[in-house]
Amino acid sequence: MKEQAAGRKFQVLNPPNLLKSKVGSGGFAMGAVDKAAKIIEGLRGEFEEIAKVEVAKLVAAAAALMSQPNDLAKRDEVYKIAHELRGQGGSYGYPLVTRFGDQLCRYLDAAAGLDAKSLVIVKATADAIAVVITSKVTGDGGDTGRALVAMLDKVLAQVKGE
Amino acid sequence: MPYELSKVRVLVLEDNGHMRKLLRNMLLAVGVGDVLDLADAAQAYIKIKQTPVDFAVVDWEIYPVSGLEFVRKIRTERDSPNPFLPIIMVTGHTERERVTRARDLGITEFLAKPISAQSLAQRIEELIDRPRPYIRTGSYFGPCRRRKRGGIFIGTERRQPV
Repeated sequence: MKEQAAGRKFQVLNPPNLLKSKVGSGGFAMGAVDKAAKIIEGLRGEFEEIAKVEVAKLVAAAAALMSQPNDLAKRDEVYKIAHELRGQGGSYGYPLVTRFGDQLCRYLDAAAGLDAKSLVIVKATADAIAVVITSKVTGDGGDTGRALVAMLDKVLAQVKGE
Repeated sequence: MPYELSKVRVLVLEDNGHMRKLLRNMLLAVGVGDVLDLADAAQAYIKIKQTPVDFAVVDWEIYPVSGLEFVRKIRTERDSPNPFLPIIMVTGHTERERVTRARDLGITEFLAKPISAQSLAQRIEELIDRPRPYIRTGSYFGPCRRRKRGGIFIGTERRQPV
């Protein structure tokens, strides 16, 4: 069970696979994974209701950050809401929520400090997430989705180009 | 014969109520017999000493004690209920340095949000059918971190000769 690798300061341990001995090795029962997928589908309405509340908080938090860009608590608030939304949107058919939430989190991760120009990006991204949720822009969003992506790309290019 | 998951008890540690409900219901849908779902890591640590679980699904971003700290305690504390507990870490953070940090604390599998029924099922299959040996060095205890490289290590050798 336990072996000391010759000449090395480490141990390799092979504990018994208790999980396998309990469940066997035949894979998931037929239809089990589909049942789990249906659970996600069944909770979609609940997610949409929660997301409406959360995007309202996100837009408010982004606006509050605009007035006090150096307030770390406000920055954290924006980050936390965007992070939760990016983590859940894609599960429920809202990949654009995940995409924009991810963009916002990565932008905040990379930005040492926020100034007026960078806050334009924060606000535009929060607004785009709000549009996706309130208008139920699912999947790639078709023309609306492409317009939102283009709008954010343009804002980013403008801010970076200045 | 398919997996007999009805014999299995799983800990879900997640402080977002909606995500906790989602994970719980998905696990029950694939056939898991019992789910212990908790929002607080300190409480979970105590609870699974009294009620052992077969594996855990833990969110990284929980407060006040993070999912990472929970993993660290499970792997390294003297009073750990089970240092070999298989742990699936769920997170919206997919940046390489964050993934590496989680891996270095001893997570067994990494499940990126947004989750799907398929992605959760795949991670559970990994725990059951492809368990890794455990490695103990001066600075690490947990599942071997080299499996994903096909058994051929191509990084910097950190296991030092005596």
